[in-house]
Amino acid sequence: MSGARASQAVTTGPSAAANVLVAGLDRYQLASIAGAFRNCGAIRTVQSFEDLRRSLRESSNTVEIVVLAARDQYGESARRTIRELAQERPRAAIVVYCHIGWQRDTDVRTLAVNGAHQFIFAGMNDDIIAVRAVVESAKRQCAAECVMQLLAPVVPATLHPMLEAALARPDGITELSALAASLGVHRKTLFNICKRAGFLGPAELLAWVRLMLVGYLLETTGCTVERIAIDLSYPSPTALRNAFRRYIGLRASQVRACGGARAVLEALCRRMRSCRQIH
Amino acid sequence: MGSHSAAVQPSSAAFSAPGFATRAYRADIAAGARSSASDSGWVSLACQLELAAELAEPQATTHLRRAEVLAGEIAEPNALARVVLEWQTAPPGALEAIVAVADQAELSHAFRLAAHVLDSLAAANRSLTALERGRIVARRARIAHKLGEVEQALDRYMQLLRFGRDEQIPELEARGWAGRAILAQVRGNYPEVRRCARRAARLADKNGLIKISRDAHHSLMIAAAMAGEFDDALAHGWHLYNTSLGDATNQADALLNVAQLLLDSGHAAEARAGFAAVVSRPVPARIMLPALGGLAMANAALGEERVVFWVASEVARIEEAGASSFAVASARLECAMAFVGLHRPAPAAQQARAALRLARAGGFHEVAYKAESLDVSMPVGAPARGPLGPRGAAVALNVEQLEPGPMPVHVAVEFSSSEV
Repeated sequence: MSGARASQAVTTGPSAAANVLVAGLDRYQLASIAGAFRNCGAIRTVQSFEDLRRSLRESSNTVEIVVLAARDQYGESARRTIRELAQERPRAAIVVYCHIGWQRDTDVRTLAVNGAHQFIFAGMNDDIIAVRAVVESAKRQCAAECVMQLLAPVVPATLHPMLEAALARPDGITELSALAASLGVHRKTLFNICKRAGFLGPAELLAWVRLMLVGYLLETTGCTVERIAIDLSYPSPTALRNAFRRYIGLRASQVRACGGARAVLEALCRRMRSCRQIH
Repeated sequence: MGSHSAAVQPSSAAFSAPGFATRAYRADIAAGARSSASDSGWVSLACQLELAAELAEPQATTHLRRAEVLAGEIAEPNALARVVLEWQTAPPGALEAIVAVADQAELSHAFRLAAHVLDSLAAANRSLTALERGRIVARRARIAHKLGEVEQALDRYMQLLRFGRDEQIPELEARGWAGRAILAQVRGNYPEVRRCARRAARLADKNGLIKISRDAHHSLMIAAAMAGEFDDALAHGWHLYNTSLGDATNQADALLNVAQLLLDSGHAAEARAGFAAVVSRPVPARIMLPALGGLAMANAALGEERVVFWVASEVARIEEAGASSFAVASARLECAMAFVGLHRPAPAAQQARAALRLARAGGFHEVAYKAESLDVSMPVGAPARGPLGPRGAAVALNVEQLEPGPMPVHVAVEFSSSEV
């Protein structure tokens, strides 16, 4: 199969650089994905995982989402491709679309261990609304994992469940009561845990985690501060801008230009150093 | 009156499902959870429940129903039966099936995935009753404990206790107290264990909550034994034995504990009867091996050398069959101690070496230390026979009457997965 035929651009929206890549899906699965992404951007399709890997090697374009079958038409398992994707394109959300009868022959656990974020199971959650929700969840999870990877070395391990909870539900967990409730603990317990870890208080930690996520989204998406503020349930775009000024001393555009989440992380490290000097 | 059957409407943040299923599973595997083909079903269920929790109605209910069907297909019958037995519900429904799957994941040490299933279930199923929601919170507390999140576990048990009291649901209040007792035991706070377990036992016994009653009496037995109050400990242990009638494994477990108490209080003959009664039944290795070790110790205290040699050969046979190395190491150590008590240094040294080998390989530091420091030439006397009050004496008499006939040629060990 020639490279030109193997890789097809299925444009379902305005002509744009493809940020959704699908591989190995059959016609029914493709239709399901196309329906979910209608008017949401271009979808680029390849037939096999080999084509997918080649396509990614040959292009440095950002790929936001990859939807791949559990097995391509040549019978190759997605396992290896997912592992390589997770390593080489850590900012791509990976969704595996499992065919009818997946319960009998799909090694979901191995695909998950290798890096799949979410699954679409034919006959179970492949209606349009569910597919959209699954893909959004995959994007959210990918962002959360990238931010956690930056935070994990600098935040004590006992506080990681708080970070994970805040990053998993950034639209809903905006203040301490919600964070405590999601973890099933009393607010006081959050204070105790932070105090024992010798770290920042929980309210400040939550603010920093959310700003890290904002920084990541500024860097990796074309979203405006206004859009991000709405998506992450800040009281207003002004409140988000004020938070940047207060915690980081930079404007949102400067954060975007200086590496997004990394700029926020550097500010957090400076804050931690100044805390240690005071104490 | 408590809203026992009314639906509870929590705030959305309170029951939003934290985390992601695949991430939870990866973290479990990284932390050493045992992986098997069943995991695929668990991960799939967790993903489907996570989706149901995300969506608004009516899609949420549609996808919850699909998750319930999936759970019905993948829940193991044994796991489902345990949930039904614990909750005293019949026939099992969709909720029991999902919880059974979470239990299976928990048994395999996939704690984060199990927690995710439960959290997603609570978030997705808006029509859970207060009792059902409380039962999920109780399981979540147990998993938090297993993840080392002791403070978080305590918070959940406190919530359960207060909620049960406010809603007048005795089961939830009892679960809260029983959970607090277990956490106090971990911290070595035995007065607190007694305080909490007594309240749990009182509520559970009054309301026919069998599993919670057993857990509470077990905690009371341990607390009494730690305080050297063997009369009290034996009474609780015998209560456990009696309330386990019909459940062979739990009954054997209870009898094992009673026999150990009798041995520790210097009643070797009665202890021997109890241990012999356990090993003459088909039981899991986790019960058989401590029973064999106890049988060796009891017989050594009575000068019965032949049985101690028989026990040592049975332990070796069970080791070859692939039993848990910790249980085997502990049993080997007890055989070594029994041989020391019989003034048989050569077999004592052989057993101690075997225990040490296993303990070092498995990182069982306490067993390794005891095996290394055992002086095979210096017998330590058996515990002095202490007086028992009327309750303890009655238990001792009951156990003595359980002594079976001659020991079998070989014990019958069940190599099944351990219970939650």
